[in-house]
Amino acid sequence: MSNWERVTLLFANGARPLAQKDALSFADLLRANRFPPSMFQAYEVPGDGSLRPVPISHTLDAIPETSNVILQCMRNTDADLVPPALTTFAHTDRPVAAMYDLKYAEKDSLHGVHLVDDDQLREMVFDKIADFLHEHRVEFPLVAGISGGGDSSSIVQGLRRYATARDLPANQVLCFTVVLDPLWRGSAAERARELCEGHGFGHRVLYPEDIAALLGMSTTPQALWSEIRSTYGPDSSHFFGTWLLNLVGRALNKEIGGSSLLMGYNREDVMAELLFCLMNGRRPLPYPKRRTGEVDCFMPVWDVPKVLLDSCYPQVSEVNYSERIDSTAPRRSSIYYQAHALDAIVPQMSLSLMTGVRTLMDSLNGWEELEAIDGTPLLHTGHGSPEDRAALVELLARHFPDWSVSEPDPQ
Amino acid sequence: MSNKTSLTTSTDRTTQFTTADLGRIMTLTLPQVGMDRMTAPRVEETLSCSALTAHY
Repeated sequence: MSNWERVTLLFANGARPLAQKDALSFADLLRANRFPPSMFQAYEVPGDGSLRPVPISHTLDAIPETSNVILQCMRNTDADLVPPALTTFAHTDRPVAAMYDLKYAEKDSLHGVHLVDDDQLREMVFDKIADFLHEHRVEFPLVAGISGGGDSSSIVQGLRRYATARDLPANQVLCFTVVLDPLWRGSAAERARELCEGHGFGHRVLYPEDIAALLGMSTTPQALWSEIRSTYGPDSSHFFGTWLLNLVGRALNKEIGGSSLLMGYNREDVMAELLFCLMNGRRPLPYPKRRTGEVDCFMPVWDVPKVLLDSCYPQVSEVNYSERIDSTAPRRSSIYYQAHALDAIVPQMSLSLMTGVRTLMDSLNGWEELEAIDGTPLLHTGHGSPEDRAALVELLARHFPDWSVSEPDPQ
Repeated sequence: MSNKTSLTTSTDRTTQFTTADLGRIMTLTLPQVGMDRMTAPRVEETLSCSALTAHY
Protein backbone atom coordinates (compact mmCIF):
# COMPACT_ATOMS: atom_id res chain seq x y z
CA MET A 1 0.00 0.00 0.00
CA SER A 2 1.45 3.36 -1.02
CA ASN A 3 2.02 5.99 1.63
CA TRP A 4 2.30 9.44 0.12
CA GLU A 5 3.27 10.88 3.46
CA ARG A 6 6.76 9.65 2.64
CA VAL A 7 6.93 12.30 -0.08
CA THR A 8 7.56 15.98 0.68
CA LEU A 9 7.53 18.90 -1.73
CA LEU A 10 10.44 21.17 -0.86
CA PHE A 11 10.68 24.79 -1.94
CA ALA A 12 13.14 27.60 -1.26
CA ASN A 13 10.64 29.04 1.20
CA GLY A 14 9.09 25.99 2.80
CA ALA A 15 7.85 22.42 2.56
CA ARG A 16 4.50 20.95 1.69
CA PRO A 17 3.04 17.42 1.60
CA LEU A 18 1.46 15.99 -1.53
CA ALA A 19 -2.31 16.25 -1.80
CA GLN A 20 -4.08 13.27 -0.31
CA LYS A 21 -5.71 10.81 -2.69
CA ASP A 22 -9.25 11.72 -1.61
CA ALA A 23 -8.58 15.36 -2.39
CA LEU A 24 -7.72 14.73 -6.02
CA SER A 25 -10.21 16.07 -8.54
CA PHE A 26 -11.07 14.61 -11.92
CA ALA A 27 -8.82 17.29 -13.45
CA ASP A 28 -5.92 16.24 -11.20
CA LEU A 29 -6.41 12.59 -12.13
CA LEU A 30 -6.57 13.38 -15.83
CA ARG A 31 -3.24 15.24 -15.57
CA ALA A 32 -1.83 12.23 -13.74
CA ASN A 33 -2.91 10.10 -16.69
CA ARG A 34 -1.17 12.51 -19.09
CA PHE A 35 -4.35 14.10 -20.35
CA PRO A 36 -5.15 17.81 -20.37
CA PRO A 37 -8.31 18.43 -18.29
CA SER A 38 -9.60 21.04 -20.75
CA MET A 39 -10.16 18.28 -23.30
CA PHE A 40 -12.74 16.46 -21.14
CA GLN A 41 -16.27 16.85 -19.81
CA ALA A 42 -17.15 15.00 -16.62
CA TYR A 43 -20.56 13.32 -16.20
CA GLU A 44 -22.24 11.73 -13.27
CA VAL A 45 -23.93 8.50 -14.33
CA PRO A 46 -26.75 7.70 -11.88
CA GLY A 47 -27.62 4.50 -13.68
CA ASP A 48 -31.10 5.54 -14.76
CA GLY A 49 -30.04 6.24 -18.33
CA SER A 50 -29.28 9.90 -17.67
CA LEU A 51 -26.02 11.78 -17.75
CA ARG A 52 -25.48 14.83 -15.54
CA PRO A 53 -22.52 17.08 -16.43
CA VAL A 54 -20.39 17.97 -13.42
CA PRO A 55 -17.38 20.27 -13.07
CA ILE A 56 -14.01 18.76 -13.86
CA SER A 57 -12.84 20.27 -10.55
CA HIS A 58 -15.05 17.86 -8.56
CA THR A 59 -13.66 15.07 -6.46
CA LEU A 60 -15.35 11.71 -6.08
CA ASP A 61 -16.72 12.85 -2.73
CA ALA A 62 -18.99 15.22 -4.66
CA ILE A 63 -20.56 12.29 -6.53
CA PRO A 64 -23.22 10.11 -4.85
CA GLU A 65 -21.81 6.68 -4.02
CA THR A 66 -24.49 5.02 -6.10
CA SER A 67 -23.35 6.85 -9.27
CA ASN A 68 -20.43 6.29 -11.58
CA VAL A 69 -18.45 8.89 -13.50
CA ILE A 70 -17.62 9.25 -17.18
CA LEU A 71 -14.81 11.53 -18.32
CA GLN A 72 -15.75 12.17 -21.93
CA CYS A 73 -13.07 13.29 -24.33
CA MET A 74 -14.61 16.11 -26.35
CA ARG A 75 -12.28 15.77 -29.33
CA ASN A 76 -11.98 12.95 -31.81
CA THR A 77 -8.72 12.12 -30.10
CA ASP A 78 -7.35 8.72 -30.92
CA ALA A 79 -6.83 7.19 -27.48
CA ASP A 80 -4.09 4.93 -28.87
CA LEU A 81 -1.93 8.03 -29.38
CA VAL A 82 -1.59 8.27 -25.60
CA PRO A 83 -0.93 4.76 -24.35
CA PRO A 84 -1.71 4.11 -20.69
CA ALA A 85 1.78 2.83 -19.99
CA LEU A 86 5.24 3.83 -21.11
CA THR A 87 8.07 1.48 -21.95
CA THR A 88 10.93 1.91 -19.55
CA PHE A 89 14.49 1.69 -20.82
CA ALA A 90 16.82 1.30 -17.87
CA HIS A 91 20.26 2.27 -19.18
CA THR A 92 21.81 1.93 -15.75
CA ASP A 93 21.14 0.21 -12.45
CA ARG A 94 21.54 3.47 -10.51
CA PRO A 95 19.39 5.98 -12.39
CA VAL A 96 19.12 9.58 -11.26
CA ALA A 97 16.92 11.00 -13.98
CA ALA A 98 14.28 10.17 -16.55
CA MET A 99 14.14 11.33 -20.17
CA TYR A 100 10.78 11.06 -21.86
CA ASP A 101 10.61 10.05 -25.50
CA LEU A 102 6.95 10.38 -26.41
CA LYS A 103 5.52 10.23 -29.92
CA TYR A 104 2.50 12.07 -31.26
CA ALA A 105 2.48 11.66 -35.00
CA GLU A 106 1.65 8.01 -35.56
CA LYS A 107 -0.28 5.20 -33.95
CA ASP A 108 1.43 2.21 -32.39
CA SER A 109 4.61 4.17 -31.74
CA LEU A 110 6.86 3.19 -28.89
CA HIS A 111 6.58 5.69 -26.03
CA GLY A 112 9.58 5.40 -23.82
CA VAL A 113 11.08 6.74 -20.66
CA HIS A 114 14.84 6.42 -20.52
CA LEU A 115 16.42 6.08 -17.11
CA VAL A 116 19.97 7.38 -16.99
CA ASP A 117 22.64 8.05 -14.39
CA ASP A 118 24.81 11.11 -13.83
CA ASP A 119 27.78 9.64 -15.73
CA GLN A 120 25.64 9.14 -18.81
CA LEU A 121 24.06 12.57 -18.48
CA ARG A 122 27.44 14.23 -18.19
CA GLU A 123 28.60 12.51 -21.37
CA MET A 124 25.51 13.65 -23.25
CA VAL A 125 25.63 17.22 -21.95
CA PHE A 126 29.36 17.72 -22.41
CA ASP A 127 29.07 16.52 -26.00
CA LYS A 128 26.13 18.83 -26.56
CA ILE A 129 28.04 21.81 -25.27
CA ALA A 130 31.09 21.00 -27.38
CA ASP A 131 28.86 20.59 -30.45
CA PHE A 132 27.16 23.92 -29.73
CA LEU A 133 30.45 25.75 -29.46
CA HIS A 134 31.63 24.12 -32.65
CA GLU A 135 28.40 24.99 -34.51
CA HIS A 136 28.67 28.63 -33.45
CA ARG A 137 32.41 28.74 -34.12
CA VAL A 138 33.02 30.27 -30.72
CA GLU A 139 36.48 31.79 -30.63
CA PHE A 140 39.01 32.07 -27.84
CA PRO A 141 39.76 33.99 -25.67
CA LEU A 142 36.42 33.85 -23.95
CA VAL A 143 34.80 34.25 -20.56
CA ALA A 144 32.40 31.86 -18.85
CA GLY A 145 30.19 32.70 -15.89
CA ILE A 146 30.29 29.82 -13.41
CA SER A 147 27.85 29.83 -10.49
CA GLY A 148 28.89 26.59 -8.82
CA GLY A 149 25.51 25.01 -9.55
CA GLY A 150 24.59 22.24 -11.97
CA ASP A 151 23.79 24.58 -14.85
CA SER A 152 27.24 26.03 -15.24
CA SER A 153 29.30 23.11 -13.96
CA SER A 154 28.80 21.27 -17.21
CA ILE A 155 29.82 24.37 -19.14
CA VAL A 156 33.37 23.92 -17.88
CA GLN A 157 33.55 20.30 -18.97
CA GLY A 158 31.93 20.87 -22.33
CA LEU A 159 34.27 23.78 -22.93
CA ARG A 160 37.23 21.58 -22.14
CA ARG A 161 36.03 18.98 -24.60
CA TYR A 162 35.68 21.68 -27.27
CA ALA A 163 39.09 23.19 -26.54
CA THR A 164 40.76 19.79 -26.71
CA ALA A 165 39.04 18.80 -29.95
CA ARG A 166 40.06 22.01 -31.67
CA ASP A 167 43.44 22.27 -29.98
CA LEU A 168 42.59 25.66 -28.54
CA PRO A 169 44.67 26.96 -25.61
CA ALA A 170 42.89 26.36 -22.31
CA ASN A 171 44.62 29.33 -20.75
CA GLN A 172 42.56 31.58 -23.02
CA VAL A 173 39.41 30.60 -21.13
CA LEU A 174 38.61 32.70 -18.10
CA CYS A 175 35.88 31.38 -15.81
CA PHE A 176 34.52 33.70 -13.17
CA THR A 177 32.39 33.42 -10.08
CA VAL A 178 30.99 36.34 -8.17
CA VAL A 179 30.71 36.53 -4.39
CA LEU A 180 28.24 39.10 -3.13
CA ASP A 181 26.15 38.22 -0.12
CA PRO A 182 23.26 37.51 -0.07
CA LEU A 183 22.93 36.95 -3.83
CA TRP A 184 25.99 34.80 -4.23
CA ARG A 185 27.48 33.04 -1.25
CA GLY A 186 31.17 32.33 -0.81
CA SER A 187 30.61 28.57 -0.61
CA ALA A 188 29.35 28.54 -4.19
CA ALA A 189 32.61 30.13 -5.30
CA GLU A 190 34.60 27.37 -3.64
CA ARG A 191 32.55 24.74 -5.44
CA ALA A 192 33.10 26.60 -8.71
CA ARG A 193 36.83 26.73 -8.08
CA GLU A 194 36.92 22.99 -7.43
CA LEU A 195 34.99 22.32 -10.63
CA CYS A 196 37.32 24.49 -12.73
CA GLU A 197 40.52 23.12 -11.22
CA GLY A 198 42.58 20.73 -13.26
CA HIS A 199 41.30 21.88 -16.62
CA GLY A 200 43.91 24.52 -17.27
CA PHE A 201 41.22 27.19 -17.36
CA GLY A 202 41.65 30.44 -15.54
CA HIS A 203 39.18 30.85 -12.71
CA ARG A 204 38.69 34.13 -10.96
CA VAL A 205 36.55 34.66 -7.91
CA LEU A 206 35.40 38.25 -7.69
CA TYR A 207 34.64 39.53 -4.24
CA PRO A 208 32.89 42.87 -3.80
CA GLU A 209 36.14 44.85 -3.89
CA ASP A 210 37.19 43.04 -7.08
CA ILE A 211 33.88 43.83 -8.74
CA ALA A 212 34.24 47.47 -7.78
CA ALA A 213 37.77 47.66 -9.21
CA LEU A 214 36.86 45.83 -12.42
CA LEU A 215 33.85 48.01 -13.15
CA GLY A 216 35.45 51.28 -12.07
CA MET A 217 33.04 51.88 -9.20
CA SER A 218 33.53 54.80 -6.84
CA THR A 219 31.46 53.01 -4.23
CA THR A 220 30.86 49.32 -3.51
CA PRO A 221 28.49 46.73 -5.03
CA GLN A 222 26.83 46.50 -1.63
CA ALA A 223 26.19 50.25 -1.56
CA LEU A 224 24.81 50.11 -5.08
CA TRP A 225 22.59 47.17 -4.22
CA SER A 226 21.43 48.91 -1.06
CA GLU A 227 20.36 51.99 -3.02
CA ILE A 228 18.63 49.94 -5.72
CA ARG A 229 16.86 47.88 -3.10
CA SER A 230 15.61 50.91 -1.19
CA THR A 231 14.47 52.61 -4.40
CA TYR A 232 12.98 49.67 -6.27
CA GLY A 233 12.32 47.05 -3.60
CA PRO A 234 13.96 43.74 -2.59
CA ASP A 235 12.55 41.85 -5.57
CA SER A 236 14.85 43.82 -7.82
CA SER A 237 17.67 41.64 -6.49
CA HIS A 238 17.16 39.09 -9.24
CA PHE A 239 17.36 41.69 -11.94
CA PHE A 240 20.26 43.50 -10.34
CA GLY A 241 22.10 40.18 -10.13
CA THR A 242 21.51 39.37 -13.79
CA TRP A 243 22.69 42.80 -14.81
CA LEU A 244 25.80 42.71 -12.66
CA LEU A 245 26.90 39.33 -14.01
CA ASN A 246 26.54 40.57 -17.56
CA LEU A 247 28.56 43.68 -16.79
CA VAL A 248 31.29 41.67 -15.08
CA GLY A 249 31.44 39.15 -17.92
CA ARG A 250 31.77 41.90 -20.48
CA ALA A 251 34.44 43.73 -18.50
CA LEU A 252 36.48 40.56 -18.12
CA ASN A 253 36.26 39.98 -21.83
CA LYS A 254 37.64 43.44 -22.41
CA GLU A 255 40.53 42.60 -20.08
CA ILE A 256 41.51 39.44 -21.93
CA GLY A 257 40.75 40.70 -25.42
CA GLY A 258 37.80 38.39 -25.92
CA SER A 259 34.29 38.94 -27.24
CA SER A 260 32.39 35.82 -26.15
CA LEU A 261 30.59 35.19 -22.88
CA LEU A 262 29.17 31.80 -22.01
CA MET A 263 26.15 31.65 -19.71
CA GLY A 264 24.45 28.55 -18.34
CA TYR A 265 20.87 29.52 -19.29
CA ASN A 266 18.90 26.29 -19.60
CA ARG A 267 15.80 25.31 -21.55
CA GLU A 268 13.25 26.67 -19.10
CA ASP A 269 15.26 29.87 -18.54
CA VAL A 270 15.07 30.65 -22.23
CA MET A 271 11.46 29.52 -22.50
CA ALA A 272 10.42 31.68 -19.55
CA GLU A 273 11.79 34.77 -21.24
CA LEU A 274 10.25 33.83 -24.58
CA LEU A 275 6.89 33.26 -22.88
CA PHE A 276 7.01 36.66 -21.22
CA CYS A 277 7.82 38.36 -24.53
CA LEU A 278 5.25 36.52 -26.63
CA MET A 279 2.35 36.81 -24.22
CA ASN A 280 2.97 40.55 -24.11
CA GLY A 281 3.19 40.92 -27.87
CA ARG A 282 6.88 41.78 -27.75
CA ARG A 283 9.66 40.71 -30.00
CA PRO A 284 11.71 38.04 -28.28
CA LEU A 285 15.31 38.65 -27.28
CA PRO A 286 17.65 36.51 -29.38
CA TYR A 287 18.74 33.06 -28.33
CA PRO A 288 20.90 31.05 -28.08
CA LYS A 289 23.28 33.83 -29.06
CA ARG A 290 22.63 37.37 -27.89
CA ARG A 291 24.75 40.43 -28.45
CA THR A 292 25.13 42.62 -25.36
CA GLY A 293 27.30 45.60 -26.14
CA GLU A 294 30.60 44.40 -27.50
CA VAL A 295 30.21 40.81 -26.44
CA ASP A 296 28.26 37.83 -27.78
CA CYS A 297 26.50 35.91 -25.02
CA PHE A 298 26.22 32.24 -25.83
CA MET A 299 23.84 29.80 -24.14
CA PRO A 300 25.32 26.35 -24.77
CA VAL A 301 22.69 24.51 -22.69
CA TRP A 302 19.73 26.53 -23.93
CA ASP A 303 17.91 23.38 -25.02
CA VAL A 304 18.69 21.18 -22.02
CA PRO A 305 16.05 20.83 -19.30
CA LYS A 306 17.26 22.15 -15.96
CA VAL A 307 16.54 18.88 -14.16
CA LEU A 308 18.89 16.99 -16.47
CA LEU A 309 21.62 19.61 -16.06
CA ASP A 310 21.32 19.46 -12.31
CA SER A 311 21.35 15.66 -12.41
CA CYS A 312 24.81 15.81 -13.96
CA TYR A 313 26.07 16.85 -10.53
CA PRO A 314 23.42 15.72 -8.07
CA GLN A 315 25.24 16.63 -4.84
CA VAL A 316 26.37 20.04 -6.08
CA SER A 317 22.86 20.90 -7.18
CA GLU A 318 21.28 19.91 -3.87
CA VAL A 319 23.67 22.14 -1.94
CA ASN A 320 23.02 25.01 -4.33
CA TYR A 321 19.26 24.81 -3.68
CA SER A 322 19.77 24.98 0.06
CA GLU A 323 21.65 28.26 -0.39
CA ARG A 324 19.02 30.02 -2.46
CA ILE A 325 17.83 33.33 -1.10
CA ASP A 326 14.25 33.48 0.07
CA SER A 327 13.23 36.54 -1.88
CA THR A 328 11.37 35.55 -5.01
CA ALA A 329 10.06 38.31 -7.24
CA PRO A 330 6.55 36.88 -7.64
CA ARG A 331 6.27 37.43 -11.36
CA ARG A 332 9.67 35.96 -11.98
CA SER A 333 8.71 32.98 -9.84
CA SER A 334 5.52 32.66 -11.79
CA ILE A 335 6.99 32.83 -15.30
CA TYR A 336 9.33 29.94 -14.52
CA TYR A 337 6.44 27.91 -13.17
CA GLN A 338 4.57 28.65 -16.40
CA ALA A 339 7.57 27.69 -18.53
CA HIS A 340 7.96 24.36 -16.75
CA ALA A 341 4.20 23.80 -16.97
CA LEU A 342 4.41 23.86 -20.76
CA ASP A 343 6.25 20.55 -20.69
CA ALA A 344 4.15 18.91 -17.99
CA ILE A 345 2.16 16.66 -20.29
CA VAL A 346 4.00 17.01 -23.61
CA PRO A 347 7.70 17.12 -22.64
CA GLN A 348 8.87 18.40 -26.02
CA MET A 349 6.51 21.38 -26.09
CA SER A 350 8.79 24.22 -24.94
CA LEU A 351 11.74 23.25 -27.09
CA SER A 352 9.48 22.80 -30.11
CA LEU A 353 8.11 26.31 -29.63
CA MET A 354 11.55 27.78 -29.08
CA THR A 355 13.04 26.23 -32.20
CA GLY A 356 10.06 27.27 -34.28
CA VAL A 357 10.14 30.84 -33.01
CA ARG A 358 13.88 31.01 -33.56
CA THR A 359 13.48 29.97 -37.19
CA LEU A 360 10.65 32.43 -37.65
CA MET A 361 12.47 35.33 -36.05
CA ASP A 362 15.61 34.62 -38.09
CA SER A 363 13.60 34.60 -41.29
CA LEU A 364 11.62 37.75 -40.43
CA ASN A 365 14.54 39.59 -38.84
CA GLY A 366 12.10 39.82 -35.97
CA TRP A 367 14.32 39.67 -32.90
CA GLU A 368 14.25 42.46 -30.35
CA GLU A 369 17.25 44.73 -30.58
CA LEU A 370 18.90 46.10 -27.49
CA GLU A 371 19.79 49.77 -27.64
CA ALA A 372 22.86 51.18 -25.98
CA ILE A 373 22.61 54.14 -23.61
CA ASP A 374 25.42 56.42 -24.72
CA GLY A 375 28.32 56.90 -22.36
CA THR A 376 27.42 53.81 -20.36
CA PRO A 377 27.58 50.04 -20.81
CA LEU A 378 23.83 49.97 -20.29
CA LEU A 379 21.37 48.53 -22.76
CA HIS A 380 17.61 48.78 -22.90
CA THR A 381 14.79 47.28 -24.88
CA GLY A 382 12.94 50.52 -25.40
CA HIS A 383 9.79 49.38 -23.67
CA GLY A 384 10.21 51.46 -20.54
CA SER A 385 9.55 55.18 -20.29
CA PRO A 386 12.47 57.54 -21.02
CA GLU A 387 11.90 59.37 -17.73
CA ASP A 388 12.05 56.20 -15.63
CA ARG A 389 15.09 55.07 -17.54
CA ALA A 390 16.83 58.40 -16.97
CA ALA A 391 16.16 58.19 -13.23
CA LEU A 392 17.68 54.71 -13.04
CA VAL A 393 20.68 55.73 -15.15
CA GLU A 394 21.23 58.71 -12.89
CA LEU A 395 21.18 56.44 -9.84
CA LEU A 396 23.66 54.04 -11.39
CA ALA A 397 25.92 56.79 -12.68
CA ARG A 398 26.53 58.00 -9.12
CA HIS A 399 28.37 54.73 -8.54
CA PHE A 400 30.24 54.65 -11.86
CA PRO A 401 32.11 57.95 -12.23
CA ASP A 402 33.70 56.92 -15.55
CA TRP A 403 30.34 56.91 -17.30
CA SER A 404 29.76 60.05 -19.33
CA VAL A 405 26.10 60.54 -18.60
CA SER A 406 24.71 63.95 -19.45
CA GLU A 407 23.50 66.02 -16.51
CA PRO A 408 19.71 66.00 -16.02
CA ASP A 409 17.87 69.07 -17.20
CA PRO A 410 17.80 71.50 -14.19
CA GLN A 411 14.24 72.40 -15.22
CA MET B 1 -20.89 22.05 -1.47
CA SER B 2 -17.99 22.05 0.91
CA ASN B 3 -15.66 19.08 0.90
CA LYS B 4 -13.30 18.86 3.82
CA THR B 5 -10.75 16.79 1.99
CA SER B 6 -10.93 18.90 -1.17
CA LEU B 7 -8.03 20.97 -2.42
CA THR B 8 -10.43 23.86 -2.95
CA THR B 9 -12.51 25.63 -0.37
CA SER B 10 -16.00 26.93 -0.85
CA THR B 11 -16.68 30.59 -0.56
CA ASP B 12 -19.79 32.60 0.07
CA ARG B 13 -18.50 35.46 -2.06
CA THR B 14 -20.19 34.19 -5.23
CA THR B 15 -22.72 37.04 -5.11
CA GLN B 16 -19.89 39.50 -5.77
CA PHE B 17 -19.50 38.23 -9.33
CA THR B 18 -21.79 39.37 -12.12
CA THR B 19 -22.22 37.47 -15.37
CA ALA B 20 -20.02 40.08 -16.98
CA ASP B 21 -17.34 39.39 -14.36
CA LEU B 22 -17.48 35.68 -15.06
CA GLY B 23 -17.38 36.25 -18.79
CA ARG B 24 -14.25 38.26 -18.33
CA ILE B 25 -12.71 35.52 -16.19
CA MET B 26 -13.39 33.01 -18.96
CA THR B 27 -11.02 34.74 -21.39
CA LEU B 28 -8.44 36.35 -19.12
CA THR B 29 -4.85 36.33 -20.35
CA LEU B 30 -1.74 36.15 -18.20
CA PRO B 31 -0.72 39.77 -18.94
CA GLN B 32 -4.19 40.83 -17.79
CA VAL B 33 -3.54 39.18 -14.42
CA GLY B 34 -0.21 40.91 -13.91
CA MET B 35 2.22 39.11 -16.19
CA ASP B 36 2.65 42.25 -18.26
CA ARG B 37 5.90 42.95 -16.46
CA MET B 38 8.55 41.11 -14.47
CA THR B 39 9.14 43.91 -12.03
CA ALA B 40 9.07 47.68 -12.22
CA PRO B 41 9.49 48.27 -15.95
CA ARG B 42 12.23 50.84 -15.41
CA VAL B 43 14.24 48.15 -13.61
CA GLU B 44 13.70 45.32 -16.03
CA GLU B 45 14.14 47.31 -19.19
CA THR B 46 17.55 48.57 -18.22
CA LEU B 47 18.95 46.19 -15.65
CA SER B 48 17.81 42.82 -16.84
CA CYS B 49 17.64 43.20 -20.57
CA SER B 50 20.47 40.72 -20.88
CA ALA B 51 17.87 38.25 -19.59
CA LEU B 52 14.43 39.76 -19.01
CA THR B 53 13.26 37.07 -16.64
CA ALA B 54 16.51 37.31 -14.66
CA HIS B 55 18.37 34.03 -15.02
CA TYR B 56 21.35 35.43 -13.07
